[in-house]
Amino acid sequence: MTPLPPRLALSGLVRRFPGVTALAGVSLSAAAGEVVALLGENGAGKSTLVEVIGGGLRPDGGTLELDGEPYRPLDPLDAQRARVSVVHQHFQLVEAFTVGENLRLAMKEGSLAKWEEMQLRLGLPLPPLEARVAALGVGERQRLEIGKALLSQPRLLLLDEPTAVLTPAEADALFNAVRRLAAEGTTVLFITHRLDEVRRVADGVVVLRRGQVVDRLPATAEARRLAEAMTGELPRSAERKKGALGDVVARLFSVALPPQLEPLDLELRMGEIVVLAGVDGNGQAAAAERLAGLSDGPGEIEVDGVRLSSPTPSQLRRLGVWVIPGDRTREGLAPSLSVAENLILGRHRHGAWRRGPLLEPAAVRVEGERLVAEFGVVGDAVQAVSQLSGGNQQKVIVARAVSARPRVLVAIHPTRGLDVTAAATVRAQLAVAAAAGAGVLVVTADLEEAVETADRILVLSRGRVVGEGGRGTSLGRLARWVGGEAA
Amino acid sequence: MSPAEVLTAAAPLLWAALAELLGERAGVLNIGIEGVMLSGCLAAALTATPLGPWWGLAAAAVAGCLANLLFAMVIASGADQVVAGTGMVLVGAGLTGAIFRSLQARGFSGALVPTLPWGPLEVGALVLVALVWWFLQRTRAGLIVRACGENPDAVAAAGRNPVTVRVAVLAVAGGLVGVGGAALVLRAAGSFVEGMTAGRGFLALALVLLGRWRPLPIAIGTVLLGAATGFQFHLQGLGLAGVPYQLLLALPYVLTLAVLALVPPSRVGGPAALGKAYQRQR
Amino acid sequence: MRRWLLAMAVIAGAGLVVVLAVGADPWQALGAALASAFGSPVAVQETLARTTPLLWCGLAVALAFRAGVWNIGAEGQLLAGATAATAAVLAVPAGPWSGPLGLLAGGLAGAAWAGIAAALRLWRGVNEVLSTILLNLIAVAGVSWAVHGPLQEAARTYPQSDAIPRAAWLWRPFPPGRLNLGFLLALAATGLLVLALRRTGWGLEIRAGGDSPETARVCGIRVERVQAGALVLSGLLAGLGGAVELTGMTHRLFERFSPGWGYSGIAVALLGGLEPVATAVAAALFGALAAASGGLQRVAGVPTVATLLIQGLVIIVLAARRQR
Repeated sequence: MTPLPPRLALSGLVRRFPGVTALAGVSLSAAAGEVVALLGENGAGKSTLVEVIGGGLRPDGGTLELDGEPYRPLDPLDAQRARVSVVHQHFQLVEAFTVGENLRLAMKEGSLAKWEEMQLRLGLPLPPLEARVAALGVGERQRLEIGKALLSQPRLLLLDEPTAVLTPAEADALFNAVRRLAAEGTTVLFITHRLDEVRRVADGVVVLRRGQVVDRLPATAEARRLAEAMTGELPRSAERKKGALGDVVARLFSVALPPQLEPLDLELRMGEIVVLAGVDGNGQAAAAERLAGLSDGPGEIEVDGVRLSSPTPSQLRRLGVWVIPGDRTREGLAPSLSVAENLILGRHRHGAWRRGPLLEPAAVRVEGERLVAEFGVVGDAVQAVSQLSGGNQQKVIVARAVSARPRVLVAIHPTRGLDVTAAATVRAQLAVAAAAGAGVLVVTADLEEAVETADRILVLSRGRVVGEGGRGTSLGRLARWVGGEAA
Repeated sequence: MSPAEVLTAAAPLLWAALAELLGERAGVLNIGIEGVMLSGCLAAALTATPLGPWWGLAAAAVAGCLANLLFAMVIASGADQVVAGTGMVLVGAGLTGAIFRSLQARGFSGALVPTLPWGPLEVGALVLVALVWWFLQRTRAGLIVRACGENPDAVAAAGRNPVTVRVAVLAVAGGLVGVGGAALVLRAAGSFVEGMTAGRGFLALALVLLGRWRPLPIAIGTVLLGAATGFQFHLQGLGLAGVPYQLLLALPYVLTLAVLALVPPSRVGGPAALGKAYQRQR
Repeated sequence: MRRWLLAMAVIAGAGLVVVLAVGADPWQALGAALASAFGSPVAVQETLARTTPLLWCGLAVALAFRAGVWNIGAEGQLLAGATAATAAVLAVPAGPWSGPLGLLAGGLAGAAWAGIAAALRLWRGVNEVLSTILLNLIAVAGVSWAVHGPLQEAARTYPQSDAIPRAAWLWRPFPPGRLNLGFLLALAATGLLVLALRRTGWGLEIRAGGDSPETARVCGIRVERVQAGALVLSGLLAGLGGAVELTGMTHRLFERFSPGWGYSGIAVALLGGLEPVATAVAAALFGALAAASGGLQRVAGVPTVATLLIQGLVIIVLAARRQR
């Protein structure tokens, strides 16, 4: 008797984008009812792989097989017809619609009667059909997306970073549901960068690095081995010189964050780097944005003794608060302006390039060239900033904030999406700013980065500080706080 | 003014406003509706004069549909909706004006266009209000249209092309605007004059905004405005010496502006993706 | 440069279709058009005179669009300027100050007209596309009322104002051609705008706010205020255009004072890529088109309103092209 073909078989998958090869020949297989974790660092190719399997992208080379048959989806709808469903990291829901309307949008026909039944089958509480999506919390929205994906009874389910926005309890419920699905014969492939999750729910692990499969291990493999496979060779960041700390330069008073989170109090000293860590969505970015004036709400901000409620960005810039915003393209750069103009934006009214009411373009260019050299930006000071690569664009944003000699520097996900060397450069610049006397507030989801740069680490959950550590907090301890253990 | 007269005055605006509602619910802001309406007016007049008012009505619908399809194609290429719409206003005004004047030279005066009886266009407009509500809220197609206006990426993820949906909606909306133009020529006015829409297209835009993108409030606002517009003709007819008729002409615009100024600022209510060009991610 | 080629192609193509549709001979039409626009010194002056209001409106629209504000209201702002200039000049005894007074009044009126939309945008979040369009329609009615009423000529025969006194007329260097000081003023405004955008902090804020309002806000620029200011300044430019047209060309106010210069200004600004100097060149192209249309009508029977059609097509084609 011939053995059953694997549920999913990929062979030599290739996918290129301008300037980068995201998938460089990926081959793997997964059996029916198996739960496979896809592990890898940022940029390893995990999301691209899921997109290709889910029909969102076409491969440039290689083959896919589903239960032994060739599988070449033309689009996500095609994949759905082949009973392959994807739950993306960024939800594709219509906020103004109800749950039921979103489901009806996604389904071709069929009734929603199975919605209730699915809850029982999976043990996952699903939001009611009449609820408006805009009123749902992040966890509920994700369960909606999962339920949506399961309505078509997929034989292969792909989850992209499913626990990134979940509380530990919600993550547990999710994993239980995944195991039940696997027991029914559904194959589940999920992307994660968290080693602990692998052990809890997966049968096997596939490790990706730079677009290729570097290892295929059982889930029981040692964490150390998994981490090594994931990261390979890492350049050591420069040891940070830890200097003395000064007075308190900034405070947040009862700053209320988005709904369902508690008000936060925070103090920041001159020369100190405070890192807010934790699962995204627990108030870290929200708190940082309040300090930078990017969002509004109850509570007060104090900088250098000046206490304000609802300060505007322009007020805060004048007080010396500068920010590296989280959304690089939308909030960080004016794409058609030159690199030099972007570099002086915000302090363009003061500086050597001023001649009375006029700006001297030549002097602006000189300043631009100086900063380009100082911060290692690969690009010309006079070219449009949109022509630079992502990493260099981020360096421009960092240069703008740091060269303004800020009293307070707020950095929101400053190294997200950057390659290793660019990230190291950015971290070094944060240290430089602190050494010059700024109080630095950093928001990051990268725990290693947090441990490396911080003088003080705060782990937030639901807006509350659930863990606080100083220099020397270990990565393991931090991961446990983030994972939900009490400090 | 009798209710029947009010409806006649309001009908062109109502057809246009409901058409714009459909387009905006799909995510498209059509500034050029004024030009599309003019095309409908001219087509109605040109066709009705030799062939009778019913053919005129049909021609107006076709003309409006084609004009809006042009707009739809342009924005499907990713063009900015406001800019493209402005172009459509000029094209509509220029094309209808040019055609009309060159035909005038050959004897077509635009006066004495055969008219339609009271009923089909007025009652039709009211029926359309209910029809549009039912379509948007109770059909799957309407759900998809609304989704295009809120989150076109979600529509694409669900396997439909938002661009195709928008083009289809605009084609239908164009037909409705054309009918509105016909209502102007074949009912209210009985003749064609250059630029006869006199800003009704723009008023339709304002009405959709003021009616918070819901058919019934839009209809109510339109009828009220139609009454005000009709009322001004009455005032002129009465020869009210103290009130210069040009100021009365401006009344609907001033009223709309005043309401916009007085209603508190609210970003809530518009389709989330309204006015934004949709780019396919591949 | 592809933009320009495309625009020329549209103009030539649409022009040809219109000429053929009217039954005229294309070569004859082309000859008449070129003669009307460039055929003699007087013709060239006419082209430049027709360019002037297009340039003022083009600059107004270019500035606003560059700042991220959709000013569709240059038409109304121009009319407000022309009306205010007429009223001001006729209200005071004639003298050497009459001309400058008219320009001042025109500019301020245009700025104020745009200011209404700016205020609504800043304090009420009213979409400026809608408000400026409504203001256009109100302005047209306002001009109609003025020339039928308070500003009507003493003889009360036609819907037009009295002629403004000679002292207020803008200087014409080469009579009998109609080229006047207004053209030179428009060129000066172009230069000033280039200077302001490239070499002032305010200009940088305008460009940043139009390019990425979020980024500008994050950098501490008060984007809403900058944009409101740009809209008001835009109105000033359009209002000056109206005042210049009054004191330099028509010398009196009348019904249908503007054949749509405010809207044509949008086509001009887009063709010029929102850059002041390129906008001036685009204005000259459209000015030549306007001058040519006179000859086309006389000789070939092509209705002048066809220029609106051609401008609309240029806008549409350029808009479609903007997609990469």
